[in-house]
Amino acid sequence: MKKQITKAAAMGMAAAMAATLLAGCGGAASSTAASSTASSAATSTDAASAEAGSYTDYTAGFPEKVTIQIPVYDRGFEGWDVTNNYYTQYVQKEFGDKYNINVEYVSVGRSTEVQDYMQMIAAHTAPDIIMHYDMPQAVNYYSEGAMQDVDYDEIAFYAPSYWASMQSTVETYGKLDGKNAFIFAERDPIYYNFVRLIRQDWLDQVGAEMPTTWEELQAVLAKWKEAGLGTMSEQLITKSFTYEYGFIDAATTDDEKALYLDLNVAPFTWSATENYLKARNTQYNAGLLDSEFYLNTEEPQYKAKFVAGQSGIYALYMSSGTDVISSLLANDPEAKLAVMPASALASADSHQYYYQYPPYGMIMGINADTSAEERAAVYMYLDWMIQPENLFFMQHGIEGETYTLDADGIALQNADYTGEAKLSQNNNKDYWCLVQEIANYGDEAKDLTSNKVTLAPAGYEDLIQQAYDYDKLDQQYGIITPIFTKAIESSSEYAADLNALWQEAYVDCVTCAPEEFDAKYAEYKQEYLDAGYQEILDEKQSLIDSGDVLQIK
Amino acid sequence: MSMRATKQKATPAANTLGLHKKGLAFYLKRDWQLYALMLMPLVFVIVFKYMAYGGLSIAFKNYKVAKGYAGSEWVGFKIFEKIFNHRDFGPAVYNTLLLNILDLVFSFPMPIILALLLNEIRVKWFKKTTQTLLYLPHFLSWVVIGSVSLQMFSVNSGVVNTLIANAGHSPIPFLQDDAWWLVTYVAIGVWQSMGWGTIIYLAAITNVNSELYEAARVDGANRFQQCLHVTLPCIRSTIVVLLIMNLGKLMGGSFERILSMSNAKATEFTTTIPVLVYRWGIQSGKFSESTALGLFQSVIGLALVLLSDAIAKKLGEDGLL
Repeated sequence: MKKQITKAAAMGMAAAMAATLLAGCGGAASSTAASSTASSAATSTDAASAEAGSYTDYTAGFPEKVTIQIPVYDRGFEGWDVTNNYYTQYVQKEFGDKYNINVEYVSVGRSTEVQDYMQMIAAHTAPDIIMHYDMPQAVNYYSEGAMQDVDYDEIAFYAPSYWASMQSTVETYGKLDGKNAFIFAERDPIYYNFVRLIRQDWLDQVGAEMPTTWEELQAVLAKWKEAGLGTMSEQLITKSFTYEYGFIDAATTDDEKALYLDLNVAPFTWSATENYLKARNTQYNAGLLDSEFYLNTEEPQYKAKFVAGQSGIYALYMSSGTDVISSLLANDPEAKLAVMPASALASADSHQYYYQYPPYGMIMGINADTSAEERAAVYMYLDWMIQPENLFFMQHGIEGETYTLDADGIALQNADYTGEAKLSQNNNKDYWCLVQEIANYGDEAKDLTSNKVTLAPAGYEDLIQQAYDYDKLDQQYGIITPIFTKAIESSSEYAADLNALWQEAYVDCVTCAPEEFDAKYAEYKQEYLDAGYQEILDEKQSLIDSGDVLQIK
Repeated sequence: MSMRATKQKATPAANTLGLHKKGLAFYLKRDWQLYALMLMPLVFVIVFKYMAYGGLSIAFKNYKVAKGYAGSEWVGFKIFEKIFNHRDFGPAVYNTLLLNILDLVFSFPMPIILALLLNEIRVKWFKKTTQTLLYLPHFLSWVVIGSVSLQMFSVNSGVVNTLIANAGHSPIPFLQDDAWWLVTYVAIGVWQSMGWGTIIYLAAITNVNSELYEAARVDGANRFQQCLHVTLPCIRSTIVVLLIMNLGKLMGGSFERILSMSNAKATEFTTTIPVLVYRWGIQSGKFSESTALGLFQSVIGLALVLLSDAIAKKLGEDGLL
């Protein structure tokens, strides 16, 4: 009997708890509903005001406090609070307080950004700006319904400086299915800072010249092997598919490039991929490639092999903060480094084609839940950030403390500065990347000097010079991925499955015996097409035929 | 308090009878600390096990994150049709069953054998030390085990293959070849779980009536025969309960165990249902498909538990439910 009562009591408690929790949930749901009606109401009033051609002027500040949420990448650096630091407080003080805006930063994991965003979008807690560096994923966000269309006149009204600088870029590339979907940050690079480091001391030891083609590189690797030095290592290719560029046929048409080039889906069935895999297969079987390259799933594993002297080539986005050179020297004080030209990864039959960024930086959309006031405040934020003096402050900090100006007006960072105004990685880039991708002085010589001091560890400025020189030689071979002006639905449908299959297929094709290669490749090719790639190709082809693709020169 | 006192005075012998005349409020008031304590796990179960059920509805919807649960349209069993026709679905079901059946065959009996062996050890300190050493792997996370095993079994630089090479044999691709991967996967699973699994059997063995052993000895049974005819039958119900619980996991299995040991070279057996749920749901944001697959897995799991429970009851055991 007692047991029964206890049971009943437990049930009662459970029911009460459940009721409270459900009530809580119901509350949340209804408030979401309320906010969505509010935002649709806001949209309709906004539409009305747009028709009238007038927008409320907020230059004197918002009558009621408006909170905007700005995304910022969290790269997981110790001792750095991405959402609350000297610079976020500075923005609040200099911009927010002036217009009665509360600027709230929302951290987004750099390596988990898509997952983070998807979860926040589902919970309706995503920041007012939804951003991504590459077009396919930005299109995915838009297709999910996470972004609202933007009104160009409204941007021009609230962000005149931003609009003056970005208008043509936004109007050219920001449309999707005929709607105004995206706005951008400016990208005006003087060169490409992706750098391939090679062990110059190893080259000297075997008496080899700097390789300038894939074939020459293999000869160098063979000499290294003979001398008992390291191999060439690789990180397992799982995303951002640009591996095939050095093997693209010189006669490839623009339409073919539009069909196959895609950062999100590996063009496994393309001849460039076949050539690439075949070259890698030969390299692997000759013992010149790290025999367990497929275990390097993360960057640190790939880096560790270079630092430990097991491999002699390492590619990275060069920055002054990199520890790869100091770690290598700690292991081997005799190590000397040079930059290897991109052509060393391109077959002699091809050219040193490389992935060239489109003329825009960050791709941004306005959150579908964002109200008219918040939207105005977001545009005002972008406009504040793009003002040269604000941008310079965000990029360099306080003169005399974090940097000093040299005779040419170039900011020289004070590496010993440890105070509260210390900048985060890459000169605070994650805060100003919404308006500009690469800091510049508007003068190429100045920019190069500046890059040498900001991008290379002290004493290695020459690596930047070498990268710059090679880049000038290669410039004609940059290929910008053509942009589809309509969403490719099959791509988001099959990308993850194809990616899993790609890893299996590519590792198998590289590691199999040379005589098995052709049969294996043919077999995987069919499997890849069946797994959804054929549908993607068909969809892309029909978009190419209907002219829904932008070729960028 | 006073009520209780009067009652006791009136009928001192009928304390138990008096109980059901008291209201719920009385017990809540008297034992509120106990109820408060119980509330914590209760809330946990409700929030994380029952409230989540609402989300299952997206298995029947074309779920778009920005539209939310309410705003996405119902599509009936379309999502299920889609996943059943997916090229990875068949292999995933096959691999899940294969890995879990292998696990059941090798990992399930090991703790029983080990418990019987440990039970026979008479030197106390040796028994305790052995037990502790056997428990240890249980406390390592699969991520740690996975990365350590990738290091140890590396073909070029792994400790194991260096030893094999030094002994004059060619290295074995423990984790780099499909068939070897399967062997390594199962072996590491046995190593990780066998020690911890013995605890429950050792507890059951302590409960065995010692008179049974005496009787067996009188009948001339040796140590092995005692073990076979006394200990084993006495812990049979424990074994059956654990077996039923394990059968329920046949369609599930540890996701992180596979993910942490998988690599791009040996992929034949690594596409399982939990891995697909992760790939679809977390990696590519196809929440409807992912939920439908998870639901499918759970329904089969429930059916397996009910079936094995029914069979156990037919065989005269207590069963689980």
